[in-house]
Amino acid sequence: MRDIGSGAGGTARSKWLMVVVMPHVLVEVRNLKKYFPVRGPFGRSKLMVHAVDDVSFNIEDGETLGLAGESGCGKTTLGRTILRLYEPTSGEAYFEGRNIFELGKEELRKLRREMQIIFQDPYSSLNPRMTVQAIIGEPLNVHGVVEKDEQEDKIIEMLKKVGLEPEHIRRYPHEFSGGQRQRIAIARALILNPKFIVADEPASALDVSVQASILNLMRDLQQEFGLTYLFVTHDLSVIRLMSDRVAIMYLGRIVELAPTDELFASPEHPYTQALLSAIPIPDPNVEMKPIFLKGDIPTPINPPSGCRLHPRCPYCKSMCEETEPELINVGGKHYVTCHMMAKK
Amino acid sequence: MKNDDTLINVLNLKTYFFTSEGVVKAVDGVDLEIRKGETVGLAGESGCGKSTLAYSITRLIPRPGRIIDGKIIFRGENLLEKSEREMRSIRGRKISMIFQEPTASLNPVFTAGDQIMEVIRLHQKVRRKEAWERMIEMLRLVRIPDPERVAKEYPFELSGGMQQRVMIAMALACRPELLIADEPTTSLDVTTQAQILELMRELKREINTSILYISHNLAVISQLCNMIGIMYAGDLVEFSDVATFFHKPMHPYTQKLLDAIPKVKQKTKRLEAISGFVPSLIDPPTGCKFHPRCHLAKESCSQEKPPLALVDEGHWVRCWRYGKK
Repeated sequence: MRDIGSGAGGTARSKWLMVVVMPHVLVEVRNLKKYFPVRGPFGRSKLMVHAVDDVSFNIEDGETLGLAGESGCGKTTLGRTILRLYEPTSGEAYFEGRNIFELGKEELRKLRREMQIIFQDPYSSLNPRMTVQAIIGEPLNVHGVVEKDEQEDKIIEMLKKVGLEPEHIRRYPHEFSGGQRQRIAIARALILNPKFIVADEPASALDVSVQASILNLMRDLQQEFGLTYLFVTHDLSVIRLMSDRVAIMYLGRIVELAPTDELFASPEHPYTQALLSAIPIPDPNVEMKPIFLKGDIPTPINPPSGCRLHPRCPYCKSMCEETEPELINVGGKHYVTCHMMAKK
Repeated sequence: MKNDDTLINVLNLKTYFFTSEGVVKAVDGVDLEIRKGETVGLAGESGCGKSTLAYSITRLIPRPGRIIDGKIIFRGENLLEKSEREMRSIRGRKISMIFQEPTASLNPVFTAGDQIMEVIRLHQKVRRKEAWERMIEMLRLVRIPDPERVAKEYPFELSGGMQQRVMIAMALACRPELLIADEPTTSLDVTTQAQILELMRELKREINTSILYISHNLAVISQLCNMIGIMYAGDLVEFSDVATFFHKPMHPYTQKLLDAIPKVKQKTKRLEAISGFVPSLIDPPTGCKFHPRCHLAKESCSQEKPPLALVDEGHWVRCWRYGKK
């Protein structure tokens, strides 16, 4: 395990510092790590799951950054740690220049008005004993921003915005379909008029026809309220539709970061190439030619040395086993974490 | 839908669940034909009855569900008239199934090899040694590297993809004539899914088993199947070969459904969403069950259920725009 901030992180950080100076950066994440302890077989040895391991990127104001990867790659942990729903192991995350991880309890509470989250499963993220009014009104009470008598009007206004009816205000979650529940969750996230939303697989639990309407709604609301999204999903076709830029994660690290069209047109990292080639195309005349990587994803408890992909990578060189590659700019806003790119 | 090389013919099948809230008409008069060596995809949104249809074929409907009407003709015999004892000799030998969650389907306290051998020895009178050899042969068939080692491993030691391979080996161990696959790749990651799909494509060429492949993912079906059926609220609404289906879908629901899928190959700005939501199967809409959500619905659509009409060679659609009225 590397020391924090030493070794490969150094040069990458100076690059990121340059980006910070540029205007319009809303969220900036630097060398973020989040490890979870796991007990060994006899409860003694303390092992660590390297869920997020030295990740740096930024999100510009008004854009949607898609965060994709297979299960266990750390994408959900990353989204939650940025909002400080998990305490980070190390690293920094800035929201409009303020380090989220250094804020005191009260300051953090205030900042939460600006940053909200939408969860994957609308069946477990809404309290079944609360009415829609109580669910959407709760953030207003916590932050005390609206007078009690104005609250109902504000909630009704928000319900209309997310495509629900005013009379839904007195109902309970079980009276709604999955798509409608996700609309309630969106209304709850937006009632405080935040700037930044982490959407963690917001449409993955829904059927395609309903998924389409939720994704369209999120698009419309982004324009109306000028929202910035971190859109976390395993579904790359949803990423294609929703994001301006995409970050691909593998075993706790970002392996590629690029504007969406560019990433799908010319993926550079061997993992991204394999991932994109595996997506089934709904057309029987298109023959799929998936690239298969050797073996399975290793455990994040003891990730491979050097490049995390090296045991599975078809282009693996001795250098890949030893040193961790840095995030390298390969032109424009396209970054790749691969030794092969450094040589070019 | 009648043909000489028909393997199984489902006729007017009705499977209802008698719950305390009311009668759930999960499968409501479905006709489906699967020919020998053919792979039929069955798609639809959750709750459309596609899994219930599959379980009905193996007669594994849990209570309070019951098959109340119809026929399932398998090799000339009606499965619904078989005794439970006769069904047991058919399941696993003539018709076998693989399921969505390999972790939940495999027994955690037996090795992978033992579980495959159990299927072999249950249906065929073979000695343990011979069963072991056949089991190893099955593991080779599903491309498991080092089968002798994997045979001695317990399910928790295998990855999701490997577990699903073991499930497939188990299902194919007695060379069934029909394999029913219920969302076998849904719980897997996209790269593992691609590997399992590749395996199933290869197996299709090597062994002549017919497959009924159930999935909500139309892209997966387009890549694997010859024929596709779309279900909506307990009805089969469209049935055709995949090439025709993906280029000329005819039912308004399937047209909308195809438009609602985000495409990875092209830049889309907005998706076509279908208004409303999937109706309750306890009290479904009258007439065509899709009419409240259909942009082409006429008044007559709410009055009578349209028949599954043959609109083109091998292309069946349940819609009044094509059926005679």
